[in-house]
Amino acid sequence: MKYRGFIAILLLIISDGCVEKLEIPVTVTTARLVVDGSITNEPGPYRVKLFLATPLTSDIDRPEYITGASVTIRDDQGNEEQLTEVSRGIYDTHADGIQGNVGRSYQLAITTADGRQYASTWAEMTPAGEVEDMYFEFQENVINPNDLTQPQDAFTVFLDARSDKASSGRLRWRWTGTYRIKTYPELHERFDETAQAYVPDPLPCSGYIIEAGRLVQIDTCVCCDCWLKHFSGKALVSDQASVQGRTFNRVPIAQIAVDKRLFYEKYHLAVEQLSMSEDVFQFWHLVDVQEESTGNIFQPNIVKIKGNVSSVSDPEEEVFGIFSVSAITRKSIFIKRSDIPKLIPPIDVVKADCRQYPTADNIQPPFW
Amino acid sequence: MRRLLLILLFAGTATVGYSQALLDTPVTIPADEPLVSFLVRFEARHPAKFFFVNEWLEYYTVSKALDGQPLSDVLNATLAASDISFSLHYGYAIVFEKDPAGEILRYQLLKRATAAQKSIEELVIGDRKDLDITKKLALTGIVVDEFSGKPMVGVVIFVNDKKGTETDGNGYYKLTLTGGDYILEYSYVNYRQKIIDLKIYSNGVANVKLEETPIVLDEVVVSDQAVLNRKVSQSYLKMTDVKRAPSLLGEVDVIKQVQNQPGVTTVGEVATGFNVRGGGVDQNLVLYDGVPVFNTSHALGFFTAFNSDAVSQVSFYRGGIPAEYGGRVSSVLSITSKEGPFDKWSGGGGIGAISSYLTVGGPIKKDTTSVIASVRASYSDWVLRSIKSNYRNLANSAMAFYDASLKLTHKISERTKLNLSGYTSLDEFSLVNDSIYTARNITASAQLNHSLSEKLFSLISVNFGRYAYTVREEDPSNAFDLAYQITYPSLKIDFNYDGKHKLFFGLHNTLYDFNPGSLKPAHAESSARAIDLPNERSLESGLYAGGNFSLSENLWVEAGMRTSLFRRFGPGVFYEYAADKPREPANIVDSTEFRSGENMKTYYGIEPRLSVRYSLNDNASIKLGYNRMFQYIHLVTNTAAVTPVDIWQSGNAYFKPQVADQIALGYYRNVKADTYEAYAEIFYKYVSNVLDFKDGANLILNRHLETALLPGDSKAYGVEVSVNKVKGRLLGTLNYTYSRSWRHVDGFFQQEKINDGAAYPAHYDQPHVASLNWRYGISRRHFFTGTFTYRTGRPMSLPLSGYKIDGVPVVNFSERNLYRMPDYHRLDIAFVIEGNHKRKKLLDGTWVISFYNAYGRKNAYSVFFKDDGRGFITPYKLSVVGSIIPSVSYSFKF
Repeated sequence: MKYRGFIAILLLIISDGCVEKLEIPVTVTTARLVVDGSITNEPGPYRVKLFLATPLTSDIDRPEYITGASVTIRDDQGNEEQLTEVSRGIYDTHADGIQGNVGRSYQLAITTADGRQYASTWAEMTPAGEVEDMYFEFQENVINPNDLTQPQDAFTVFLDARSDKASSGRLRWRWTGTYRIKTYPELHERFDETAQAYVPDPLPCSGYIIEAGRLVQIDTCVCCDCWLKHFSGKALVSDQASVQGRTFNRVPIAQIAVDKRLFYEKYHLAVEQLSMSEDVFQFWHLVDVQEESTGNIFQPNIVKIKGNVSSVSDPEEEVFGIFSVSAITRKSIFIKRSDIPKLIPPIDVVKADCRQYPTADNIQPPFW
Repeated sequence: MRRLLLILLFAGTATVGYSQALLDTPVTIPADEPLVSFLVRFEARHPAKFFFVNEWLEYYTVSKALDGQPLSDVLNATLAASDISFSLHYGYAIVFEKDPAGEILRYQLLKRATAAQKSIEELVIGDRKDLDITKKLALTGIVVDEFSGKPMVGVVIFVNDKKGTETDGNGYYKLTLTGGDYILEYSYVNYRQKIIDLKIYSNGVANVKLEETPIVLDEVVVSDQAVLNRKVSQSYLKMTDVKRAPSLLGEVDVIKQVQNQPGVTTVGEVATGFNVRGGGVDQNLVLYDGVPVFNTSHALGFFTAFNSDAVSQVSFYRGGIPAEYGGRVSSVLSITSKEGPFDKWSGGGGIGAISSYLTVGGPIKKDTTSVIASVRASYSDWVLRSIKSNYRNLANSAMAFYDASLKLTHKISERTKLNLSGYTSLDEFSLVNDSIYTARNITASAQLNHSLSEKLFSLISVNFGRYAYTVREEDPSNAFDLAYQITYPSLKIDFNYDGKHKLFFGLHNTLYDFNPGSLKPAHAESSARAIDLPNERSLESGLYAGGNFSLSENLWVEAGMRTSLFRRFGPGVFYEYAADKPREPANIVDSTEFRSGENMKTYYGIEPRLSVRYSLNDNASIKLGYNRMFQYIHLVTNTAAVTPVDIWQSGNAYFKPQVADQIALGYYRNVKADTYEAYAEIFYKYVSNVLDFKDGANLILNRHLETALLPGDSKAYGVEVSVNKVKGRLLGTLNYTYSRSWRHVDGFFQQEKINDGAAYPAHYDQPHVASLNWRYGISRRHFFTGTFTYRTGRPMSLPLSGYKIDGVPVVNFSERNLYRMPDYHRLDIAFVIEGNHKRKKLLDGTWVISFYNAYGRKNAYSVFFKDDGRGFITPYKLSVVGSIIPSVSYSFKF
């Protein structure tokens, strides 16, 4: 409950309490295998990543990958395919190889280079159901509502979803946001040492050059308009307690900040709805709880998360991660700049190559 | 004065005179004459010098009959039967000396009585002028019970520390005294000793009222309170000690003092719940005038919800629990409120930094009906309003609480007494983000005490209790009202037989009506979804009998048996889960509906209780306690401390009763003429069907709580050592406890195991707990008190590593409660300045200046985790009290 946090803040202030970083004992943790793999009802290739869990002091995005493993996906009809290691620790099926089908069951089997064997539980691919509707609402000051310095308006995006009977309402959603950004690389300047001043220096990708002290366009700009992506990055699962029939209504799925750069033109939000097996659902549910309890200053609901992969050779060995078997259904919407019921400033003049933004792509997406 | 000095000088060097001539001088006494004037006259005519103190001799008269006798005979005859003697020095000086023994004794008695804070009444009978030390004077009177007005038989009256007499069958007494000064002490077991500083010069009457000790708040001295006589694992709290102890912001706190008892631990400042011998916070039965109270705290646990001014007696059992108590498995804290005085109106109050309180009581009809009312209210809003912060609405936040109690006592007849008592407490927070939280306790009871015969007493109580809270969110986009409530009326009939052996038996019935929660959108635009969980009703009954038996001079036994019966009845729905799958809402296979009143589930329990005391000698005893207890209602929580939104859940088909078996063995000893009391106890406790939360469980408004909680068992054992200095200027207690508390949850499916089915320490497992309390009497009215507390840090889980799955960061935690928070220690000190101890005065005030957390330790209240921005989390410790907190409070009596 959110308000508990506020009570505690009050008490803190009243009593001059404090929050300090806790020095924790250095724990030597054994390197644990993590499996991140999936098969869906969409065309392959399907990917399985093998790596080691990262100690808290290291970079979570640069794990130590496990190479040279034999990775196999098999189905309940005796078909199987060994995956190819396409780069360190990343194993893909062939584009024309195994194909996920609703109603079939699948399993992942791994043998590492040192001979240890792991396997996921068998899971049946259940139908994905349907995203029936997707809509958004403008809400004032919903981001950082209690911080006077930084409240921000946002669009909250909701969806109404229906699950298939076979999936028992176990759904997960993930979304990708796409928005166009505008930069002005032709206005780029550099500091001229002799003149002791900034002088125009259009970036070559802008298509502009300086000719006789004037900006002249000689080509099309390839770095003025880019499309950037946002990812959900969170575990969004259906709330088993609020299922009514098999429909989930008004599930808040995303909160898109009303920002001049995000709404230069419009914002595209594409949602994927995934069905999954019970143990994978449980995994995502616990990840969700873990995210929510982070920052709760009362005794947090510590969650020990295990996946659906275990060691065949040593049942005592802890293995993390999942091999998920999902059918996917999609839906997307645009939120337009004109949907903002307020005045919003024009995009700022960024004199740079738009391709330098992370996730940026200068090719217009087909759905734009 | 000059003469007196000389006397003292001579007294030291007194020698018998070489000449008796002066003493043999015959004297002439023409008429009766005061001794002093006679001496002056004699000095004028003879070469003699008398040294005396006027006041000593002014009552004596020389009789004409002694005319012609020698001086020595005249003086001897006049001063016979007095404590004055004379001696001759250097042939001319006659020094009158008063025997100092009587005066010194009187002075010592007075000093001792004031040191013990006994009430001393001055009484002057007759006029000094009438003093005739040759005459025997009669002092008569009657001693009655102040409360009932009944004459008291066998009250012993000491005269100058020697037994004088006893009251007869009608409460009368008669003393024969010569005129002068005396200290009279009226003593009776269980009654407050009365001391009269008597100056008697003629026959007179002294009628005395004695107060039964528990009625006076300051001196709750129960007769068998001495450590040797207490039952195993039992404590009494003296309200005087509670009031003189240092406290947070000067708020007197009964619960905080309970937390200082051996075997009792707490998880932090913001938790008035307490853990007894490895038990959960829900396993304590807290009774206010016999009615259970669910929320024992104000302001989230900073302060206790009971106004100590309205409390007369607090007893606390953590083992060897008598058969009359049931329904919770770990401890009993029984709080008895004060009855109003029957003779005159009086009251008291106090002013603290956070709240103020006032208590007023008196007779409505003298000696028949009395009333007492007590109220405490906070005025702490200003604390919040004075805070500058970036947090919006904080200035509009409020934190307020009050509690109030009322007790009416009516003596219907000599043998029948009716008590009506009520108690209520309310807490309200209105918070940033527009959330308003309100919690309320209400208890009411009507108790009829009746003596069926000289030895058989009955107590019939009809009680009502309610605990409720609401949370209101006012932000229109998700405005809601969340409500939770338990109502629990009860009927209790208890009998006591006070014969050679004491016997007790009775029947208790409590009806529980749980409203497990409802949520309503509170605004048209609100996105909150209405949820209303159906009420759950159950009935708990207990039938008990027991007795105290002195089997021999050395062996004392209290044995009892309680049988309890619990019924969960309809309306309600029973959900059946697939047997071969984990208990999840998705795995419900069937449901059965029960009509109103239909029996859904019945449990019964047989609860034997035993407490044995064997005296080894006058100074040492061994005690043994065993009890089995059943608890049918459960606290559902996923935090270690009691928080305002915790949920109490009725037992049902899935929530089986917690059953505790506890055995405790102790050795008790008095040392150095009862100056020290010391004991050591060991205990072992096993509780089955304790509930722990499943990873990721949502408990609020959960229709299927059985899917969120896992049953397991708990095991606790430990040693408690206590040394108590009970006499002298420095009083103190040193307690040390070593104990462990383990839990074990091992369901069939992986999701239904905690820690893979291995035992893990409970949230409140704190192996080493030590506390030192002291009170040093700087003078009779000035005290320096303090408390030092040390506890091993609570267990916690820590993040060890992390990884990303499909772009989502996941943190891998250690097994549950594998690590520990930093140790907790704190020193509190207080200076107490009490008003003078004269009984008769307008206002008796006490100042308490206290320093909480004197050396400003930042003890961790909790460890929590913040996202470090890279998908990982970093542990932080939160200290609720981060510095020394000084405060001044004032309390008064009138």
